[in-house]
Amino acid sequence: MTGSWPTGWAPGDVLTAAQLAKMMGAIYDTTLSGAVATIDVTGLLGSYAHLFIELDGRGDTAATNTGLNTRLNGDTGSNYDTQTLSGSAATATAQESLAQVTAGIGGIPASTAPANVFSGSLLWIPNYAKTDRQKMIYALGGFKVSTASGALTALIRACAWRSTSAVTQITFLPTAGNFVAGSRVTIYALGA
Amino acid sequence: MSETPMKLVINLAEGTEQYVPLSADEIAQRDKDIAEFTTIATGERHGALAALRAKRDRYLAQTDVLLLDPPNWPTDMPQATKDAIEATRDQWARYRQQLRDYIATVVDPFDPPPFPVQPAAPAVILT
Repeated sequence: MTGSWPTGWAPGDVLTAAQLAKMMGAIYDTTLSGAVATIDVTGLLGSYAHLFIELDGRGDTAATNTGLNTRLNGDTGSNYDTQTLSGSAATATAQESLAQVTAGIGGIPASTAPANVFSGSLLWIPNYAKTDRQKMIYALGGFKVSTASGALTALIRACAWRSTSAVTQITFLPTAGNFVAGSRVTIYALGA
Repeated sequence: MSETPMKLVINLAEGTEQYVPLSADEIAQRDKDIAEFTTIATGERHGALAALRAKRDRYLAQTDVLLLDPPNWPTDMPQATKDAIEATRDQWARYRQQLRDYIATVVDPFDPPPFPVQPAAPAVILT
């Protein structure tokens, strides 16, 4: 079978450094070796265009699930707005939460969920380093708390941070308890 | 004495990570967050419960016609449907009572029990 890449690429072509810089790649990946109350991502350079973060976690609080939240640059003020669309079984729900102290980005299973069930959210933060616009976080995720009908929840969230500051720090925190060992955070960046 | 909560600090600039105990300030902030989350959770719980109640109310409204007295049935109702309603009137009455009782059975609105199963006939599509 023969053919060429639709964009004009051909076998044997080599990416230039400039082209590589435009691509998306993982810049950090870690799996927790112990329980932690928060995960702080610091030292975030402003040299990328957009950020994508995948958090696959589980909580240790005594419940089937708990919320997954994030805070930018350590801002603990009531500066986060979140709109949620969620669905489980045949029930769809929409929810608005304004002027919150964190951005609610999803949920994770917790200690009474079935063993070995982890889940979480995929976030993207466009133009995280720009200072000319307020920041948005888009989250796509879900979590499962049993195999019963209605126990698998799908979530889409749009979170707004009322700040034009460049994002230099991202903190993840569960609504209650800790993230357990085995929870994993992977950070991807798209070149500038 | 409870164990000090830990945090993971990832430093992307240095490519390092470190597990450190939360500082006193961070623990105070965490306690504040938990109090705030409790308030939010109460609101979200009310929202989830309201969604279930709305669904229950729709199902009741959509099955109202099945318990009307025959003189009040729509004039264009097919005879087969009328016969099916007559034959299953008690089942629909029980189903509707189960719907009315449903909300009281919900312990966790985020993990609700299944809705009551409607009688098979007449075929009614509830939305």
